[in-house]
Amino acid sequence: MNGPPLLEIVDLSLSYRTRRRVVHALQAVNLSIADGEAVGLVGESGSGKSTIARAVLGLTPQPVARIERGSIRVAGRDVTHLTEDGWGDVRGQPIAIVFQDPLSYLNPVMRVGRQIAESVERHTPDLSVNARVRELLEQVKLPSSCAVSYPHELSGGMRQRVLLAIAIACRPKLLIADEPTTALDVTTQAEILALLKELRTQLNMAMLLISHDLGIVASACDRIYVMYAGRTIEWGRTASIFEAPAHPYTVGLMHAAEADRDRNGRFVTIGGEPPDLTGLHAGCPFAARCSRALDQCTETMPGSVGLMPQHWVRCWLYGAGQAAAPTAGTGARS
Amino acid sequence: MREFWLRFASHRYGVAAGLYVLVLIVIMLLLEVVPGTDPHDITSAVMQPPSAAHTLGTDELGRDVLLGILSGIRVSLTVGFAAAFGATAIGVVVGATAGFYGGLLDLTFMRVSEIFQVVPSFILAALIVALSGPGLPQVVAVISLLAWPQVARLMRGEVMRLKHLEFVDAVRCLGTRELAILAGEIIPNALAPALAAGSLIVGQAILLEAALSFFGLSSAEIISWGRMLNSGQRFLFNAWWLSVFPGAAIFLTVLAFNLLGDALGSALNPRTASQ
Amino acid sequence: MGRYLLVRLGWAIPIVLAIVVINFMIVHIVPGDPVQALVGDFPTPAGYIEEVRQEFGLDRPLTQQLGLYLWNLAHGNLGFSFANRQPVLGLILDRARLTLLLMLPALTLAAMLGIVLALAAAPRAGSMYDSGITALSLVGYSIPIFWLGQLLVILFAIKLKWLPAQGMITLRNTPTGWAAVVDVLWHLVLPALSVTIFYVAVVARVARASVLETLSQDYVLTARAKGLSRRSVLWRHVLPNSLIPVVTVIGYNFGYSLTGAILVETVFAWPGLGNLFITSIGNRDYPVLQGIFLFTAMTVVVANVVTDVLYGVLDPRVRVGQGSHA
Repeated sequence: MNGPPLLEIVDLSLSYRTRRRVVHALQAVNLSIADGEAVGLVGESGSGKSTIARAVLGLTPQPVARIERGSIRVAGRDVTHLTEDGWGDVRGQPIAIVFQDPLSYLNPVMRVGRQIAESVERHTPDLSVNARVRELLEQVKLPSSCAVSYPHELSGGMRQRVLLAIAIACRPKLLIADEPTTALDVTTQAEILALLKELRTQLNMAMLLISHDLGIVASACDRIYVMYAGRTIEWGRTASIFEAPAHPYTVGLMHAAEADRDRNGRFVTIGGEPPDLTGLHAGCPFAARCSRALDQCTETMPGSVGLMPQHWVRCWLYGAGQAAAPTAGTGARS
Repeated sequence: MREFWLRFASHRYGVAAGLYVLVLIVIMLLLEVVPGTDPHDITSAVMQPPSAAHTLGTDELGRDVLLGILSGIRVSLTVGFAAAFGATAIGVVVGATAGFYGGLLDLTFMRVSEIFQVVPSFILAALIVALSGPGLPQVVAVISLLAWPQVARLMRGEVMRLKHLEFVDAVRCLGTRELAILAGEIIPNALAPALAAGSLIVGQAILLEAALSFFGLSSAEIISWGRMLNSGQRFLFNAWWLSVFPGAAIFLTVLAFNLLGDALGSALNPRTASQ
Repeated sequence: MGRYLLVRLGWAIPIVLAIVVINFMIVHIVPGDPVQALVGDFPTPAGYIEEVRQEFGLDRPLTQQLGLYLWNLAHGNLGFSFANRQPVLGLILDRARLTLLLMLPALTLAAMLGIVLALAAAPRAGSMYDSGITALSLVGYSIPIFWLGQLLVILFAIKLKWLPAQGMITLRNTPTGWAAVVDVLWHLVLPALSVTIFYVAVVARVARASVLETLSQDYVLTARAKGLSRRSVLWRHVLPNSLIPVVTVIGYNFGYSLTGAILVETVFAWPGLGNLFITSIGNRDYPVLQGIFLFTAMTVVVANVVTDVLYGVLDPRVRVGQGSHA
């Protein structure tokens, strides 16, 4: 596999600035996805996962969100500083997104068929719209009668399928799924996950699956990135991370079961609170909660250390690593 | 209290409006004592456009328009303040009672206030004043009667919120009687938003009084801005100053009270102040 | 939808009854002989006063009087105006058409202008342009509408002589046919403009808040993520959703704009309800005044119900669920 990766995020730092405070949501994040690859992004709520998903499509709230450093490239093209109109070349095609809460992300006063049709008209205008909408509904396993329904008339799982239909109507090369199953019950979760996997092979899409649930991500992805407090702290092949998790936070994640979360989705088994992201702190953000913290942990953030082929970690326990930003995980399939 | 003034002072327009109202009050009081300022004084200089002698011109009887406007302050401020006070008083009592006791009383109140929402207030006010004859007390009474539900609805909501709070239960445990709890604990704490709503009624009342006077529903002997516009209407084609200046006085004064009310509202209510 | 409509009608009927009772009671609460209020101060034929006493049962107990009053009302009998030598109901309906002719274009224009202003300002929240809308609405709430009308007359009719100042038709050389229609429209411009300016302020304030609220909704993100252009997002997703509260406010404030029209008519000598109202005040023609109150209050109730129906049309969520009244 040669040529530039489908999506490449290099050393990206992004902050939310309001009159009162600055929140450093992403700090020197590196991430890349090749054609056809399934990548997972795991972390607690507030770790910056959703910010990445939105930043990649230029959907971070303006003018509050500001990219401080780094770049986002889509198929080799730098899209970091596009205008709202310029983003039209990225959104939907080649990158589409499925959001978390299917009710609030659907227009309440528009029939769902029309909402899917808008995608069709925008990205495949040469096709017969009605036939294509029916085909899309079939692909996400909804009866075609759903086209005339309003979102509030459908169940949560059905709405999530509609959002999926809207996304794949764009014929994307990369599908971002931002917590696509969180709002659903367990049975429906499994159905949607199975559907995602099926569509991915059927349509030959790459996927970025974002979740707080390591289990969900592991079952669907080739590679995994673990995020903490706006930083990517460990990434590598799924099998490698599962066999030998390196970062103490990843280890904690593995041990934490679903039942061990508080209402905000934070793990209570990992003691302490996620750090305050207002203001810049030196050192590793996890140091305060880490049972194995060393002296230097509170002073400087370590660079990335390659543990195995295609498995990296940013933690002092494995040495200082490269101070310069590594091109994290590129060429995962090379 | 100090905090209140600080928050109020942060509204520049509100402070300017407050100063303007203060100036109006001073002028109103001065006119009482300074001799030779009778606005009814008739001169031979009839229908004069604005000039050095008569800054804002004169009307068909040679009366000075500026003097007329200044003495019109009295009616507007009296009606504005009295009606707002009346409406707030009724609104606080009714709203607090309905919110505190609930049940059938509350239901009745909600329906009654819905009726007031629907009825076009100017038409009803005009009808009542037309039937009962012109006079400031009638006008004040009618406006209070029409405006109180605005205050009452806010008061009701605030009381309903407060009565379930812990400190009320604590007082109740001390054996305090219900009415004493309502009057002593709940109403004082719920008053701020009601007062803010009441302050906005001043402007509405001034506008409504002006409209009634414009329709001829005020005594011809008392000089008011609406009355001046009423006669100005007859001379619209040859004496623009008879309409432009009194109307501007109404507009500026109502604007001032609305700005003042908004500033008071956010100063009294820190929760919404940041928005 | 059917059940929803029933619920709304169930709300309207007691309100209508209450308004009728208020109208009945006013005559009895206000000092003076009730027969005076029913007849007016205008000279009447001998024996008419006795006739009215009989018709409304003024010598009988109050409850029976109320029954008679309702009976008369149900038969469209709102009394007789001696000043106009016409039954009150016919008189009011006749004039109401002209008030509606003034109001409807003004309201439509104000609604559209208000929404367009809000949509244009929304992406620039906090800017000068945006504060302009807030200032505009403050002015709208503070300006006496009849004075606004006078200013427009002085400027556009007297100084600039662009538009006619008074009346509905040109009295000298009255035109006929299509020229007459144009003539009426020509006379309509200034009074309608007064109502528009007055009302656009109210609409723009609500529309601004509504558009800002809608823009922050998640489904707007979905629409943008599809790759829709900014214009498509605004027109197809933001506009229909922000229209709902705006329509509600316009409908629920129908009485406010009706009052505005009534106040403006006097300035322009527009021969609608407002003019009838002010001449009837001068004539002490009480039956007409009461009739106008009843008529306007009823119109507002009807406007409320129509608004609820429109709300159901615009928002599919209401049609199945139970309607809630804000």
